[in-house]
Amino acid sequence: MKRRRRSTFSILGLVSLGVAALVAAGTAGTTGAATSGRCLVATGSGDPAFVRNFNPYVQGLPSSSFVRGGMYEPLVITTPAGGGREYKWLAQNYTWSKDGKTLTLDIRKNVKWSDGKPLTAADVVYSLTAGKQDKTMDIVGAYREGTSIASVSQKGSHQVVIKLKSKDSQFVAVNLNSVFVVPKHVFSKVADINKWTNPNPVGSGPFVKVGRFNAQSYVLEKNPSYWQAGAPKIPCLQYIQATSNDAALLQIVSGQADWTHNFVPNVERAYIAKNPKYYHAFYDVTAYPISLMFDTAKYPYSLIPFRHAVSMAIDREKVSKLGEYGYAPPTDAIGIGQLFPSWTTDAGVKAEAKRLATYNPTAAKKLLTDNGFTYKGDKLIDPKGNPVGFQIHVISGWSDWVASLQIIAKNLQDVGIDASVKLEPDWGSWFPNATSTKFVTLLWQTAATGSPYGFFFNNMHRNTFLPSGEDAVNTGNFAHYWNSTATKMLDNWKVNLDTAGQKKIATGLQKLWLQKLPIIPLFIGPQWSTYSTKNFHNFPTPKNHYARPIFNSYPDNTVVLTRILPGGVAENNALQ
Amino acid sequence: MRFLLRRLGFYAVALWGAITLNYVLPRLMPGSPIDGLLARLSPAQLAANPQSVDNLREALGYEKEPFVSGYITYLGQVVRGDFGISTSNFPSPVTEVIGRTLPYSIFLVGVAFLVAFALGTLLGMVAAWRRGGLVDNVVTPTLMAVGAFPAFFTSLLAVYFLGLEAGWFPIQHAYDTDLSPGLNGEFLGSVIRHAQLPMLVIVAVFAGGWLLSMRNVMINTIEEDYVAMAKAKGLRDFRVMTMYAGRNAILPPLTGFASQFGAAVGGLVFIEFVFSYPGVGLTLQQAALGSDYPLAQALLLVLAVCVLAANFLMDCLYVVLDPRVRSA
Repeated sequence: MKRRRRSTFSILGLVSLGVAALVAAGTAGTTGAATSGRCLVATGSGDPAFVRNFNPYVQGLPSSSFVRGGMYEPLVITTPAGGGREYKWLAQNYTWSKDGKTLTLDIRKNVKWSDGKPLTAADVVYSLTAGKQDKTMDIVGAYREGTSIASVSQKGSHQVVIKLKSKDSQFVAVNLNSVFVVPKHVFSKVADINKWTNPNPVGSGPFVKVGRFNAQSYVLEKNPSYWQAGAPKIPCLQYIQATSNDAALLQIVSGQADWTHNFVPNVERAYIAKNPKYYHAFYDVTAYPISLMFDTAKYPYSLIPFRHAVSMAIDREKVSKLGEYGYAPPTDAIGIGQLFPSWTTDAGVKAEAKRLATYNPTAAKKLLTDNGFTYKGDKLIDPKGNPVGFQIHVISGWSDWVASLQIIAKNLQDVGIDASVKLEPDWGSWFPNATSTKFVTLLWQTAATGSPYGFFFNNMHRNTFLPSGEDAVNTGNFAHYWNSTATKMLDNWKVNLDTAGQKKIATGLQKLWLQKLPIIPLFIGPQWSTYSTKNFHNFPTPKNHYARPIFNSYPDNTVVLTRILPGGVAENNALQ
Repeated sequence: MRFLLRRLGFYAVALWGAITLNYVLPRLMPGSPIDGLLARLSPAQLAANPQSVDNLREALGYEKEPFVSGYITYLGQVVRGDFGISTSNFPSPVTEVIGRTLPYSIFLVGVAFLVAFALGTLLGMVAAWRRGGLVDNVVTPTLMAVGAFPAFFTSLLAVYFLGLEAGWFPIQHAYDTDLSPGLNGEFLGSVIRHAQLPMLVIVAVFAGGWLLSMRNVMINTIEEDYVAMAKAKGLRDFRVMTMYAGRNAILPPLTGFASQFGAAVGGLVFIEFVFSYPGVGLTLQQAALGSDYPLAQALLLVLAVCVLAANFLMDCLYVVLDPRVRSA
């Protein structure tokens, strides 16, 4: 048998040659082709590889970030930013009839779709009534149960008439705020909207055309025939992939990305300090509170003194400073003072809201013992004779909530409640049980931010109430609570078109809220925005709070995208 | 030949076991694919579309299918190669997602592991031949120390110091974000450039292991009679080290290489995570966290096939390399 000369060495030698070639070839290929001027680069966190899906009715994909706002635009924007502002966008004017049941929208006349066709009232009517083509397209809720819309019709080429079943003062601020206008001539031809990816979008917005798309990044070019003269000023938008918050941090620190919406802990040192002239962060606290949610149908959470006592037993200052790094300010017992300052002006209400949110374990204990609770040694016993104890569930990866809850649990233990924190591994094991309050948990609010009506509606109205154990993700009534007086007051508010009258009802509702305290508001859930002014400026800041700062928060992002200007500006802003 | 056929049969059974486990495991996890999609929505987005939960459920058709009939359907799908639609990459079909990520993993792991193996065994050979010499005293403990750190720790250090601070390497992604995939020099050059730092990290982390195993086998092989015979015949020292001792000593590490390679294709999650490298490991992690059953199942299947294929290839290679096996 002839032994073949198998040379291990020659194989190894070949491999080393290959490596050398690898290194040499790699250094040859450097950066890619330049685009038409530097794009505004945004990045998210935890994104999977990008799929070319620009369907505005699908949300949550990395490619969705600019679809609503960049490609498709709203009619009227109501934002809580800067004390509350309204932008008449595609609807350049709107008027209510005298009886308050008919809304007439005047559609802007010079708006064109990116394929050249004009945007007319027909497109607006189509977008508002698209629910009859498919349920997922019913953004305004025209075909949902309990809708206030009676009919939507066109009057001429640029007027839309919406007839309501009854007066609805919340319609523009709440219902219209999430609407976006899509081209009828494109969308009506789609057979199954849920499976359609809209790969070459036709839109009216400032950034519609897809310049370059691959699994790691995509570019949206500016719309040359955009209806606002001179806008947008920036040549293009780019969104690049980041697998995690740390990966995104690398990108913004190196200057590769300009804008994120991730929570960066210790942002002063981790980001701003790297380049204080250009690197900034705006943790916008014009937002709803994060609250401790109990299932108020269960005993003893159903007892109002219990909820009041829990509220007074928690040290919100400590939670905000140690758990939330000081970024999330503590709230009073209502929690909407930051978001709607002009609606929370009653002195008596403010004082009581403050009292119920002030850390006072002694008063909490007294309130409990005055209402049938007893103490067996250190342990709290409810009036029925059972010890009070529960676990508060939270996703283990949400480190700030975990830290906050550990402080809260300790506070509750100090008043005798056997409270502890239970970690859940991921979203799937936490979320469905959280939104049905099958366990005690922290949760946000899902009400729109157009007016405070939604906050009280979600938490107290008969129509949002779901029995104990049912998933309230659609209605936002996580505490399974409703109140008949509140329901009447909210119904009155809805049909009252006079702001002064509404504010009186709101004050009454706030008094009722403080009496019943269905949820325990603790701290604001800020909107995290980090941005660099090295290449672009005029982002929203507290001094220039023209819209909410998050780039994928519709409809505010439409305004921001048209207002950002190219050019670097050195500003020395610490964390705002 | 009979040896190979027997091994094939064994692998077929192993594959069936892997397929079944693939079906069972994701369904033991709490949550459903819808939750994964919902996790990516902010409260504001959920508020804008309050019916999104129900709509998604209907659109994706994810009412829980019964366990046993679902298994039969699943087996049929596997045979046909139809793995469904990935919910976390909606609406890309799973095969497209895998087609996009598997080549990068195989490229990264393939080249890096080959280099690590070559380097490790070469150094191990020299270290054993000249025991107590420079290579043995310096390189062996250094590589062992570097390999002792967890892979993600080394990756983070490399990314921060070599990538961010020194700027010697690009810090993320598989290719420059300005380019589009295509068979041109610029793109391929960019791919190679972006793979350099991850490969460096993989080599640094894994070479130590190969070095040690090669060194240990080599020390025994050196004691063999035929090595003494070769030296006595007057052959050059270098030739004896490589052709006689090295060639026989490399066989055990080679077997280890096969199984490690197959597992590494999907196992280098941490390295891919730190470098945002779009490989199988990262995709599997995201699919698992996002309860994306179809993608997770298909990826696990691909990994199982990789491991089995690598082992089978190594069996074939063994037949070629080691004459003693041929007659078995």
